[in-house]
Amino acid sequence: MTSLTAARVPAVTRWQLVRWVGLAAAAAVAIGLPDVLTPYWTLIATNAVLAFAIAAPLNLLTGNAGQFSLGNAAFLAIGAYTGAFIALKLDFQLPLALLAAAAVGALVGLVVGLPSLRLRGAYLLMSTLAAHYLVVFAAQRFQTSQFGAAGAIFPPLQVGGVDLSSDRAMYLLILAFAAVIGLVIHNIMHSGHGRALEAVKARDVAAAACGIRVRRVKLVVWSLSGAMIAVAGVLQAYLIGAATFEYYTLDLAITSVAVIIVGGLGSLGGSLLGACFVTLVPVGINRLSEQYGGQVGGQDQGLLAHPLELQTIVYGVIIIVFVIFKPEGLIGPARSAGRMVQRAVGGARHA
Amino acid sequence: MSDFLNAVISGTGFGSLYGLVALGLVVVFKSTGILNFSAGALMAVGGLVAASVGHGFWISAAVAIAVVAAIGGTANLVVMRPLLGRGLFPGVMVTIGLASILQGVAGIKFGHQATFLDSPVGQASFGLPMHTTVSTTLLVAFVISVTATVVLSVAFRRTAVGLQLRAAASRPEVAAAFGANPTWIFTYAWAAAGALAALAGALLASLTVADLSIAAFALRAFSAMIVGGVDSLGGAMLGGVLVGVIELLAGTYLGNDFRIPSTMVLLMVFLLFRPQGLFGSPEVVRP
Amino acid sequence: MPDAPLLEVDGIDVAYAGGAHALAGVSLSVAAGERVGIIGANGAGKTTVARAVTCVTRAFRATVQRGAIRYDGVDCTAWPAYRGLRAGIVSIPEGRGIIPNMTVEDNLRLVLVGLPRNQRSNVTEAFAMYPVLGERRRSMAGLLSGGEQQMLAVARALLARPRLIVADELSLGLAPRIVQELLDGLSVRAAGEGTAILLIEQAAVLSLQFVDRAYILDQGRVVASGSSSELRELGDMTARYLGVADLAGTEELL
Repeated sequence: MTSLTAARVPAVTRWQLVRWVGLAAAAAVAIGLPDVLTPYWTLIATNAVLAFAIAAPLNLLTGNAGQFSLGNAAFLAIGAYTGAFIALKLDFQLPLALLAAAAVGALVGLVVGLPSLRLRGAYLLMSTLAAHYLVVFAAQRFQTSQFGAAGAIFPPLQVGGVDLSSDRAMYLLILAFAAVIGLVIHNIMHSGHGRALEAVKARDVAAAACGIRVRRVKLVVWSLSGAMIAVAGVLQAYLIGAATFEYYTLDLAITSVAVIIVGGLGSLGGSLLGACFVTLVPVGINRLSEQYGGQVGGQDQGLLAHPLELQTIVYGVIIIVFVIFKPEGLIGPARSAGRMVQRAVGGARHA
Repeated sequence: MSDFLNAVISGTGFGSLYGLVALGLVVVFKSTGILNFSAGALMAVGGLVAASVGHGFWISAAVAIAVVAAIGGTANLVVMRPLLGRGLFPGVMVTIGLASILQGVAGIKFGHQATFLDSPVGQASFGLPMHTTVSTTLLVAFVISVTATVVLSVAFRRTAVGLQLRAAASRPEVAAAFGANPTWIFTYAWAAAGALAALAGALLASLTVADLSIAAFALRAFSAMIVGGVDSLGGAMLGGVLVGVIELLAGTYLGNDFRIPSTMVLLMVFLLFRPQGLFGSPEVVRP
Repeated sequence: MPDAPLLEVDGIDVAYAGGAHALAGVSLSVAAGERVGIIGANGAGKTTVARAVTCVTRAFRATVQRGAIRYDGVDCTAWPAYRGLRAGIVSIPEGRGIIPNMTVEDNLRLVLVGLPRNQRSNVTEAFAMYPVLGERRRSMAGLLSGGEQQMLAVARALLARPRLIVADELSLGLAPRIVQELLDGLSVRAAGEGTAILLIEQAAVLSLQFVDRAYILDQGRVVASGSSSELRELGDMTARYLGVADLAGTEELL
C-alpha cells in the first residue's frame, strides 16, 4: 500500500530548476569577474563582497534578532588585531589567524551581548555605543604596545607559500568567505533557530512563554555574529594592508547599519543588495565629480566640487529616504521581481 | 592637589556644556522616545554659524541658536513626523542620516579651516587659591548652562507646551486625545534641542575652536543623560557635570587617551546597574 | 428621530496594525442629550468603538477601513484627536487614562490647554465637583486610589464642556457603590448641560439602569439593539453574550 508518507518527494519543479540554474550562473559570473574587470573595478567588487560579509552577520543580529547594535567596527578591530597578533607577531598562517579571530570575536560578542539580557531599546543601543569606544580603546592600547603608532602592517597575503595577494586572489578568497558566511546564515535563518530569533525580536516575554530560552538565544547570536565579523576583520585588514585604530570609527559601524537598511532588515539577499549599493555610491559620486566637478571655471563649482562632503550628504539622504519610504529595503522589489519570474515560469506544482 | 582642583573645575565647566546638550537629548527622548544622534552635528553647526557671524559672542550665539532651532524644528516637520510610532530603530537612523547631511553641508559651507569665536567676556582667566586657575569663559559657560536648565525646567512646568510635552512623554495617546497636537509639540521639542545644542556649540567654539570636531563632544552628553536620569532636566545638567569631572580627572591622572573611555565606562556602569540614573524615575527596562 | 443624530457610526470596519480585525460593519447612533450604552464581553471590540469615535485610532495603530463616522452630520472619520476634542467629543478612557507622574492639577490643566481660549473653563470647577481632588491637587495622579483616579478622569472630561462623553469601562476595578456615585454625578451634570453619554461597559445591569438605549457587541459586530427595557427582556440572550464575567449581573436579568 502506498501511503502519502511513503510517496516520493515531488519532482523538482520548474521554478526550483530556474533558481538553481540562476544561482549557478550567478556563481560563475561572480567567480569570473576578476578576469573581465579592470583592477580598479575588481577592487570595488572585492569591497562590495566584503561589505556583504560584514553586514550579513549584523543583519542576523539586528534584523532577525532585533538587537540594535553599533558594534560592528569594534568587532572588525578585534578580528584585525587578533589576526595581526597571530599572523605577524606569532608568525602563524592565515587559517589559524582566522580561527583565533573567530574565537576572540565570539568571546567579546558574548560580553557585549550580556547587557542585552537586561537592557533593550535605546539603553541597549547605548551599551553598544559604549562597547564600541571601549573596544577601540583597548585596540589602541594593544596596537601601541605591540605594533607602534603606525599600526599593524600586513604583508601581502601568503598561505603555505602560495601568494594570494593579487587582486584576483584576494577577491576570490573574500568571495569564498562571503559564500561560507551566507551559507551559515541562510541555514540559521531557515531553521528552528531562525524562528527563535524572530520570536525573541518580536516579544521576548512571549517567546520565553513558548519555551524559547531567550537568554541563550541572545547570547548565541551575539557571539556568532561577533565571531563572523571578526573573521571578516582579518580579511579586511589584509585587503587594506594595515590595521590602525583610527580606522575603526563609529561611522564605519554606521555604514554597515546603512547597508542593512538599504538592503532590507533580516534578509540575506538584502545584505548583498545593500552592500553593492552602498559600495557603489561613493564610486559613482567620485566619477561624476571627476567629469563635471571642475568644469565651471573659477566660479562656485557647486556640490560636485566637494566629492567627500557630497558623499556624506548623499549617504545621509539615502538612509533617510530608505527608512521613511522603503523600510523593507531593496529586497522588497527584488522579491516582487522574483515572484513575477516564478509566475512566468509556471510556479510550483502542488503535491 | 592643584591638578585635582583644576581638573574638577574644568570638568565642571565643560561638564555643564555636556549637560546643556543632554538637556536637549532628554527633551527629545522623553517626548518621542528617540535618541537624537544628530546632537553633535547640531552643536558643530551652531559653533560654525556663530563663528561665521563674528559680531562678538552674544549676537553670534543668538544667531546660531535661532538658525539651529529652526533646523531642529524643520527636521521634525520634514523627516521625523512620518516616523511617528515606528519606534527607536528608524528614528535613530534618521537622526544619523540627518547628522550626515548636516556634516556634509557644513563642510561645504564653512570649509575645513578652524575658525574662532570671541569669548563672551574679556579676561582670559583668573587665579584662585591653591594654584588653581579658572577660565572666565568657562565660568560664564557654566553660569549660562545652569541658567538654561532652570529656565527650561520652569518652562516645562508652567507653559502649556511643557505640560503637553510631559504628558506626551508619559502617555502619548492620552495627550493626543486631550488636545495636544503631536506635530507642534514635537516640533517645539526638536527646536529646543537644536537651540540647546547650538548654545553649547557656540560656547565650546569660544573656548576652543569652531570646527566639525566639536561634534564629538555630544558623545559625553549621552553619558550625561543616562547618569543624570533620562527624564530629569536637573539630572541631565548634574550628570553632565559629573561626566565632565570624571573625564578630566581621568585625563589628568591616567592620560588624555583615557578621557573618552572613562565617560564610556561611566555610561556602561549606569546602564547595567542604575539605568534610571541618579535622578530619573525608575523605568522598567526589562528586556 | 426627527433631527440628525449627534453621532452616527455608519458600518465601520476597524483593523489593527497586525491585521487583527476588531470591528465589522458596526453601526450606531447617539442623539443629542441621549444616553446610549454599548454592552459586550471582553474582546468584543468595545474599546475599539470608543477609540474610533474619539478619533484616536491612529495612536493605537488601527485604521477605519470601511464606513464612516459622522458628528453633527460632518464626516469625522479622519479627524485628528484634538479636533474631536474641540468639537465636544470627550473621552473617559479605559483604565482612566490619567498621566501618573503629573499632579492632579496638571492632569486637569492638560485638557484645558488643549482647548481654544474661549472654550476653557477653570480647574476650580473640578475641585468644586469633587472636593477630594482639590485636597490632593498637588499629589502625583499615579498615587491616587482607583476611585479617585476615575473621579479625576470624569472631572477632566467635564471640564472640556463636552457635547458627547464616551466613557469606556468606567466601572472596571471599582466597588459598585463608587461606580454608582460617579454615574449619578455624571448623570446630574450631563443632564444639566444636555450632554450625550455613550457608556461602554461589560457590566450589563449597571449599564442598562443608566442608559435609555443600548447596543450589544459580540466579536466586533452589533448583534442586538433596543431600548433598555427591551434588552432586559432579552435576558437569556444577553447572558449568552456577556460570558461568565458578568454572571453575577445577569442573574438579575434572568
